[in-house]
Amino acid sequence: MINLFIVFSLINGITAAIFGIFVYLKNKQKLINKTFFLMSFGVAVWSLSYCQWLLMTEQGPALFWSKMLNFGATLIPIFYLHWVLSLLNLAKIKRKLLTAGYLITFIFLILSFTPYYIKSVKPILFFLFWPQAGPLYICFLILGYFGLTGCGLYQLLQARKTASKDKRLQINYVILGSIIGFSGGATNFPLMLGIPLILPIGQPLVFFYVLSFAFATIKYHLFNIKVFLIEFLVSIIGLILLVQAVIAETFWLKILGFGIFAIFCTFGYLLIKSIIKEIEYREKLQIAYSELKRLDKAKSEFISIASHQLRTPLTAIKGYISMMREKSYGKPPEKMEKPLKNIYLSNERLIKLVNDLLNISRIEAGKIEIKLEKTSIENVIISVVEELENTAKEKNIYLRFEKPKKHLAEILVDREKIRQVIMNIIDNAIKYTKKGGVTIKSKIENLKFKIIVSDTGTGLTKYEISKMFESFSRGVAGTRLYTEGVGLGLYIARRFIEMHQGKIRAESKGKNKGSIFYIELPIK
Amino acid sequence: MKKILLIEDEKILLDIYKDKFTQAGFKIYLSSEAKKGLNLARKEKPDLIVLDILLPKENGITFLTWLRKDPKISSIPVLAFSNYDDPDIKKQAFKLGVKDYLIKTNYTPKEIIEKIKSYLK
Repeated sequence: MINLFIVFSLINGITAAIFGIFVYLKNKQKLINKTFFLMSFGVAVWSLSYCQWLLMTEQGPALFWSKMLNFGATLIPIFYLHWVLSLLNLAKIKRKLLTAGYLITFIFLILSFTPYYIKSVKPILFFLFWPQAGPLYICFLILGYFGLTGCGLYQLLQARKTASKDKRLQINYVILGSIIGFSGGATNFPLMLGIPLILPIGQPLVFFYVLSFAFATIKYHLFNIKVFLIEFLVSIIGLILLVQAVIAETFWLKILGFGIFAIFCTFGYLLIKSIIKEIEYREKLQIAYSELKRLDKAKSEFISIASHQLRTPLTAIKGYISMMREKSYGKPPEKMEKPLKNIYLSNERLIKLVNDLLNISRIEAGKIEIKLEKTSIENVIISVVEELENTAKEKNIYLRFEKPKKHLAEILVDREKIRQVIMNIIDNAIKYTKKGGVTIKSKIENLKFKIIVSDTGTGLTKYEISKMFESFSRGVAGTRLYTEGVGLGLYIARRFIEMHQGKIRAESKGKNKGSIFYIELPIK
Repeated sequence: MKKILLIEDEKILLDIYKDKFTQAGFKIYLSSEAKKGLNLARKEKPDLIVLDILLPKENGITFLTWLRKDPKISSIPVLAFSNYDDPDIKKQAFKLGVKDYLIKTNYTPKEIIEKIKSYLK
């Protein structure tokens, strides 16, 4: 049984020492590496002394090593707290806490070889000697072991609340490792306090804290331990091959052994090199991805705020002009009616542009959501026609909705978006029609709701049709007859219809032969 | 006379809507901050609250959270009325029970009055 304790202590000590030295050598300047090394040093002193103490058969040396192990144990909580704070970038902010922690630890360290700390060793259960805690040691348990590690855990839990997804996962590993490791370590204390209720069975658990910290670091590339493990493995196998070659009995076996060794070294070197490259590449990708996500979020926020700022003065202009036109401030002179109308329409163009740009940025970012509700498309068409009636009248063209004889069923769509699409198509048809007019029809056919908008306007060429639903393009006729807008409306219409698994297309028999726009929506 | 509480921090817009709402025959209460707005809501018990979302100090979402926690005023209908068009904020507003989330720039004051009337029916 004791042998098991010796083996686990040895594993804990060696693992902590190797990881501590490796991490420190990777970057001697970084605080996180330095504090990890110090923490590992504490664990190594504690574990290796633990091993030594269990091997002792005489009381004197057993007392010395048990004092040594508690010297190491005294160091662990403060170095752990310092490491946690440097991991969370809080070491500077929490300087007072750290100073207090170091001061307490310093006092305990000075007194750790006095009988007030460890008063004696005595046989307990199957152990030949077990250290007995003095009154000061109880103070250390409260202030140091549970106090300082508790502070570290509290800081981790606090940081976890606001941490990014990746950082939170990393903190989770550290929290888990801390709880397992320190709970395991704490099972040593009852016997020291003369309470033989709990056996020190948690000793092997200490190993898990090193393992979980290592996992947290490997997974998130803090110290590149993955490379180290492969280098370590390759070196061990290489060493075995070299020894085999040296001790081979015959000359030819030696040649063969050295040959295998050389080939292994070459491939081992290439393997390590490629892994380092891959890790570097992945880290770069990870950094680029995080940066991209941050920029994307910043862009969305910027667009939302910028469009808000742009819209506020536009709202004020719209409000005042519309109230002037409604005669809220008295009847304006007749000659002002046209300028007021023009200001109003120009303002509407700006409002539409801001709305379109906002929609485009959201569509491109995949952030537009569809809110489906039972909608009567016929009612939507009627309301759009009512809104655009005056515009058509002013151009002396007709605007007709040829309703089907039977009322068509309501379908599941995002009402606002479909209204926007229908408005855009009819508005466009009016704009590009000088004579005649615009006719709208609707029907249900093959489980599809179809809206057909035909006009007697300028018509479209095949090239224009092929380009008109793309982003930032306009039909050539648009440039000639009507220069408003930057060609965003039809692109947005197409994307909104596609979000409904529908289709939108245009047809034209050629120049001055009008155009027909077809919208198809699946019936849901 | 129906009572409307308008929480809006943009002075020009506040002037426009104050005029229009008064002309439309509503008794109007104004606030440019969430906290003051909440106190006014408690005092005056309006029939409808027209709420801007981006406000100084606490925003419209915080106002809605406070409103819904106070049983005396929690059932007052709220119309979110903002130029801040963010899908997440919209979602939160609807979760907190707003009747609608209107983008100011898309409505003339007259159209807003019509909307308000429809919600007061």
